[in-house]
Amino acid sequence: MAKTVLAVDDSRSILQMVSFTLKGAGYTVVEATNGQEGLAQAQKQKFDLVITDLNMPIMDGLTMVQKLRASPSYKFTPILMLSTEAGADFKAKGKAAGLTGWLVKPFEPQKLLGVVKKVLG
Amino acid sequence: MFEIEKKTVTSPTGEQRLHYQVSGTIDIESIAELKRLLLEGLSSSEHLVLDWNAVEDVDFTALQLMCAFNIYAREQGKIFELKNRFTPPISEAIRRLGFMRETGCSKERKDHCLWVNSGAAKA
Amino acid sequence: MADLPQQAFREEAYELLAELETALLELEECPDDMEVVGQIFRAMHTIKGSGAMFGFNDISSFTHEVETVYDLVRNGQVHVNKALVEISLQARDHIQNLLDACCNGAEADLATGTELIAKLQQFMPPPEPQLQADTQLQADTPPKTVATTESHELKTYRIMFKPHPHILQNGTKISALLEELADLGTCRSIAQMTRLPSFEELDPELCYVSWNVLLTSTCDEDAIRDVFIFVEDDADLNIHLIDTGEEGEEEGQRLGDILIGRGEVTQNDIDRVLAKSKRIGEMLVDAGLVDQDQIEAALQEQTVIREIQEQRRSKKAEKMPVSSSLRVPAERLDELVNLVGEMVTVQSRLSQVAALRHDADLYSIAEEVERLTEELRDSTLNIRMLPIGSTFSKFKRLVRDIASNLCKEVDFVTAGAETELDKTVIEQLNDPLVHIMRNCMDHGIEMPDVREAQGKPRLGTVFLGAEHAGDSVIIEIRDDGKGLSTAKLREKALAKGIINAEDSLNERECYQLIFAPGFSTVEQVSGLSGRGVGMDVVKRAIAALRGSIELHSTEGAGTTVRMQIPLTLAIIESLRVTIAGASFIIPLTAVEECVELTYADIEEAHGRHLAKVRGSLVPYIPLRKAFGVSGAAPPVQQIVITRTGGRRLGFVVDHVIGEHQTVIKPLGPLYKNLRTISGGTILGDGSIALILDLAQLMHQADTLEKQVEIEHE
Repeated sequence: MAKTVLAVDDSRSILQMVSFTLKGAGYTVVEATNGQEGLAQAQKQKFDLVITDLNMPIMDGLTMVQKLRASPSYKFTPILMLSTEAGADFKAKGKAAGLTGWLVKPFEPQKLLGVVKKVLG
Repeated sequence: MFEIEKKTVTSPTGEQRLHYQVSGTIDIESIAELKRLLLEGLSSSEHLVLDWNAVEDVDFTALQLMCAFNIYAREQGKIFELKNRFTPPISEAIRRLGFMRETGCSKERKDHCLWVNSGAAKA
Repeated sequence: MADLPQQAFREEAYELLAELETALLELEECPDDMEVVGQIFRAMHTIKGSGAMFGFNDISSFTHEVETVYDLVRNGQVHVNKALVEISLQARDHIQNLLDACCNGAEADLATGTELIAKLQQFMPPPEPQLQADTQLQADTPPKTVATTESHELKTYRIMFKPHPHILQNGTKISALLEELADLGTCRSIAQMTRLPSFEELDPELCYVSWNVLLTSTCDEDAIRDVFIFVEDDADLNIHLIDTGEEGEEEGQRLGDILIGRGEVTQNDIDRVLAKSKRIGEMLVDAGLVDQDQIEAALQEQTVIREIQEQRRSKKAEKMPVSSSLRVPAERLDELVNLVGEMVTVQSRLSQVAALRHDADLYSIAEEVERLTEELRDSTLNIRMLPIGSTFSKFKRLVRDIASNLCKEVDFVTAGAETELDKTVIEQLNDPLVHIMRNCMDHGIEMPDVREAQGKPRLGTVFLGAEHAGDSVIIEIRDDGKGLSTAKLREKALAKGIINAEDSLNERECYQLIFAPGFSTVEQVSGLSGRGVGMDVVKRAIAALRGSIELHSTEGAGTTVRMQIPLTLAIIESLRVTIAGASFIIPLTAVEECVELTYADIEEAHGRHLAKVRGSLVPYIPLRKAFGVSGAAPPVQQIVITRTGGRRLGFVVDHVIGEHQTVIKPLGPLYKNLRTISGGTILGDGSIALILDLAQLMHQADTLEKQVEIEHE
């Protein structure tokens, strides 16, 4: 069965690129444009992987990740964050919020697939 | 997620066995539930059989739990059997996760170890 | 299709810029509204992030500066005032201008950007220098890209991966990590159960297992660390190279040695246990020195190493003999070539002096030195020779990418990858080759459907081959595409004023038109082979390598481009000639023969520059006249008959001195417009000789001839 991915980003172009890349690799993708929308989608169905942006209106990425981790069905789900930074600071904060991994923008579609495979197997 | 079908089997000699038929995937999402079921099963029966014939995939928490439970059952003086653990998908997972053994491990000698596949030749 | 995300970015960016404008105006009204500040920051952030993603780097880097200011505003470090809003609005307009420029392909106005950034920076609090360097680093350093330098040697690593118990709490999947390792090569994992607690104590959601992995792969340690990049703080990771892939100890390591190597027992322990006579593994376990896990892992390691050595032995038997090689920086080689060049110059001076002295002893030494110098030269130049194959493999990718870009189906075939050429020559060949290959794919190969309709296979073929021919290399690029039509070429050349209507050109000359400056066969310059660079640039690049280029084509069947390139650039065999006492050098490869030219011959030809060479007429150029040398020519001059690009042409000189080893020296930037001279050299007596560029001389003569003809009419 195709693995399902929830992609959350307020940038339509990035969302489109992520979605296009993953669909091309056989994943089923559902899109959301901010943290709150992402949470709503995650409640409707259980995803195998969540990919989210950091800075978004209404609810940012880290808050969403914390809320997801607090819910029993997302306790162990891989969650990736797309961000423009990769400093130790960001990583520590991300880990504390419950991130599985991260991907620094800009990235190539191939790199995205590699990281998805790394956390999803 | 996995599902368990429980039944009690009585052998010709009158012994009672508790039989758990598992299906689906056993992984970290539901591993706490499996631990609870195993404890419950062993407290209500002298002989517990866990059948993995219909299990599609396991992660390492499942194998880790089996190792600990195998030792525990013996220490309690009870019998634990893990049936059909070398089906193709499960064998592959056991190998990938590094549990496949030739001589047992630090906790189990060869004759007790769950992951020494003495009948490997036929598989 | 390919432009979709870029298009989406543009639309998105315009929307964000509109939002930004509204927000900035709002900010001017209420400078303390943090929600508005957040909105501005996010808009900038998205433009920056997505911009970088889709190749809008100017936009991204400029927006980064603006975003930085608003990050500080967000954190209360910078306060909003009218001036900041004003600059921000200008910055917003600048981003829009950059975006417009990208859309219409106009030049981006970077000066304004720099100016605005300078103004913005006035709002920033002066940070401590150290701190600034730090933030700069974090913002600008791209993600650590781990270079996986692949060597051909298979190496075996022992990876000890000991996760902290909570590793699974943020979605990490151990199996995914192990799978990724397995993708790197041949991999065996052994789970270590030492830390497993009793069933009652066990929290099934924690990880008590460690892994010992043996990986045989060509990858380096960084590639392995990269697998664990997300869990580096959640696990202990030790990687040891246990087999380097080089010929090592012949015997597989013994189990005891492996355990010692892993620091699990000492030699003493082994010796003590060895006194008894059971299997060493059992004995060590019995003795309580190691546990069964460790034995299991070590046993695996033993097997793996044995297998590798086995493989290596059989492989070695296949590829005998093994040659060892040494890596040397290219500059050192260049230096050596230079020195050899000077040596050659000095040696020819020595020979000259020896010849003048009539001293038999000196003469024989000079001869000896000449022989040695020649050998030294050849072996030195040989060191710089590289197989051209490395360039070929790059083209494989190029062809693939271009083909998919153009939606064409192309098979790329190469031959002679092992052909060796001077390193510098290979480097300089790259651009011309890329250009020609692009032309083949773009203009040559037809779309698959068109090919099919013409009865050709859908899959087009582009061939790239190299082979040795004397002291040069022939490189051929061939496609089975639509070919060139001579009629069309002629028409075009006429329209562009390259030829006149009455010029009669044979087929060969027609094809050479493509190399004329300002000539391009396609009506529309496509994005690929376009960029306003024509085949004339290719021809000049090849000429700079002292090579020649020709094109043949059969309409409907394909085009072949053939290049002849000298093996090396540094030293050439040549013919030394003089005109009015000055020396000139003609590359020997082009020379066919030398014949005499008397006054009588000149008169017989009635003023036409044609010489009779064994029955056929060969045109010649009197170099005295071409170079504007005054004074009378000697009664008997020499014509050096050359052949370049399939044409024979004579060059009239005063005297032919003889063969000469020429070390080519560039003339310097002052003479860069000098077309007919390709370089200079220092002669044995210290004087200078100029090297003639035959192809250019020939071209000049052609133009001159045309002018003369016009004057005659």
